[in-house]
Amino acid sequence: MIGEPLIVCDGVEYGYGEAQDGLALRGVSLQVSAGEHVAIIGPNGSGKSTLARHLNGLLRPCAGTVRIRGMDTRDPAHTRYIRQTVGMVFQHPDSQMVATVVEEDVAFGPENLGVPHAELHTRVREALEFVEMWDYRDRPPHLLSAGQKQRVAIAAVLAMRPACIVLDEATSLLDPRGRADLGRLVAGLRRQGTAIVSITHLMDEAAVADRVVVLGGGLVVAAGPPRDVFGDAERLAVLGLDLPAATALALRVRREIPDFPVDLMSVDEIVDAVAGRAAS
Amino acid sequence: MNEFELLRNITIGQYLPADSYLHRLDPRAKILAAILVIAAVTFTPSLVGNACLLAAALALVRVGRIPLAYALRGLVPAVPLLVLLAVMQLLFFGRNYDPTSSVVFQWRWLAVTIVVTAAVLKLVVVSAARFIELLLVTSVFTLSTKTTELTLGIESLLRPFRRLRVPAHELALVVTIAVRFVPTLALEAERLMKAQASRGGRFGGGRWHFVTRVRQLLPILVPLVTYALRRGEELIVAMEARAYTGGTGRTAYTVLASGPGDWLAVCIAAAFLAAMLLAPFPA
Ligand SMILES: Nc1ncnc2c1ncn2[C@@H]1O[C@H](COP(=O)(O)OP(=O)(O)OP(=O)(O)O)[C@@H](O)[C@H]1O
Ligand SMILES: [Mg+2]
Repeated sequence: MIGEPLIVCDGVEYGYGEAQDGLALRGVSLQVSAGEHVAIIGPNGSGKSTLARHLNGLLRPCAGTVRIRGMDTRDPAHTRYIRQTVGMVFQHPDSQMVATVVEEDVAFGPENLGVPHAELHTRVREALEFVEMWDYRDRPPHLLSAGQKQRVAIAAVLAMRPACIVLDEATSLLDPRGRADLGRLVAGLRRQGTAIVSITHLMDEAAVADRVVVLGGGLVVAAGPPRDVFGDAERLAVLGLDLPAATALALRVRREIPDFPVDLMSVDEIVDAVAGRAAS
Repeated sequence: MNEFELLRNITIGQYLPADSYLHRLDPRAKILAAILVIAAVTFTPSLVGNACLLAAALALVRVGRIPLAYALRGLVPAVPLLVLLAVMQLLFFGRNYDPTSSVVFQWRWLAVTIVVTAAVLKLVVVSAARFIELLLVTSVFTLSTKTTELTLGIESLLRPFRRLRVPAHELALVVTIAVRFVPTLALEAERLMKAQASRGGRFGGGRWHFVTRVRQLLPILVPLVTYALRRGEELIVAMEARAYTGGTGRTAYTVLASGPGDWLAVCIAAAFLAAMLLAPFPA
């Protein structure tokens, strides 16, 4: 389902302060196609969040361009359309909710887009049903668990009907169950053809993406399918990054059995590899 | 009740679901009616008038189907203040307030004289009654109105004044976000108090020790403000990310619709205010 490029970043540079030596992004080029799942990993301070905020025009590049469906994010005339096309879910569930009840909060985005009244209701209902929070629609946000808040945050973005959703460490404050729930939601979104950009410190989450982009010091240091990126364990170790649990295990096994494959991304693949050797 | 959980039990702005005429009332009508009733409380100085008002406030509690005990619970934190006010009035007004009034009680000890006149006594009763009436009316209002209704009502009522540059939408948004963040900040304050208590900070001390209690709150105030500012900044980014560009060009999820029943409430409140102002109550 991967189609034409949706997001094209070309040589993006960005610095927060005046000083040009402290650039947070130092020439990042990146493409996200329609329906694609891209994971961005990298150590703390490598510029992941800064890059994420460029993807829907919250930040505008100092040099280079970011285009969403061909539209430059620096042109203020496109801001609304760009924000609608690329939705964003942040790490902290408490500071993303504007309204005092769930359904009003989900309606906030489409209200801003000027969606007519009747359609607002169908959109809010569809979005809340998708994340299985429709029954909680008249709850105030502070009576929800962190996982439920993140699901509402996703519904709030979905109600804007985006082509791409950026998740900036959206699972980092959740317990394993909340994380698994969110993972299922993301998988469901991809089946519907929504592109996903997920920023994460969990390599197991990155391993399920179509493509992994590794940032280090404001530069793309590696990019490609998870198998290729995680196959190069030495380079990741230099950056202080982990491997997915399955890949790490395969690497350990390889020390004992030199021809054991290392480009394994999941427990299932390990089981298959071991079963294959046992059979032969 | 745990002393750390006090903050979370703030009842202001809390909605008590029930199926009553007041709950169904259009928020715009309810806001106007509440303003009229509060005006009636403010402009009625007589004893008989306040008796009528107290009866009216209690009637409102009934009409709103709010358990009386629940409505009165809002009064409890105000009791020390009420007592203090009454004591001050009794002790210090003496003959200065309406010298023509007859003396009810007199007590002399060395150079200290305490005189209580009928006028002061009446003042004490009337100010206590007013306080209770106001509290009852406002709690009936907040208990029967959802915050979303309240903000929509404010926005809608202020919309005609937009020509005078009254930022109706922005004000409503400010109220919404403030209400939205009360529980979040209360939880954070609780967390801070527990963190400081676990490192030897002391909280609590009796209900009457206002000074001690206020002083104890100071050390959590600074981190709390920092937290609020950080959350606020994140919220701005989150709002921008959801295409918020100000009030223009927005549509509304909830649309208010008022019927004749709603405007009847305003008429009743207006008639009530007129009656209170015009009635020949004994002074
Ligand atoms: N608001 C800001 N003002 C100034 N500098 C900032 C700001 N936000 C980030 N930076 C700096 O920009 C650089 C990149 O930060 P960024 O938040 O993008 O990193 P990150 O990869 O998201 O890190 P983390 O994994 O901790 O979320 C860091 O050196 C950081 O100190
Ligand atoms: Mg970050």
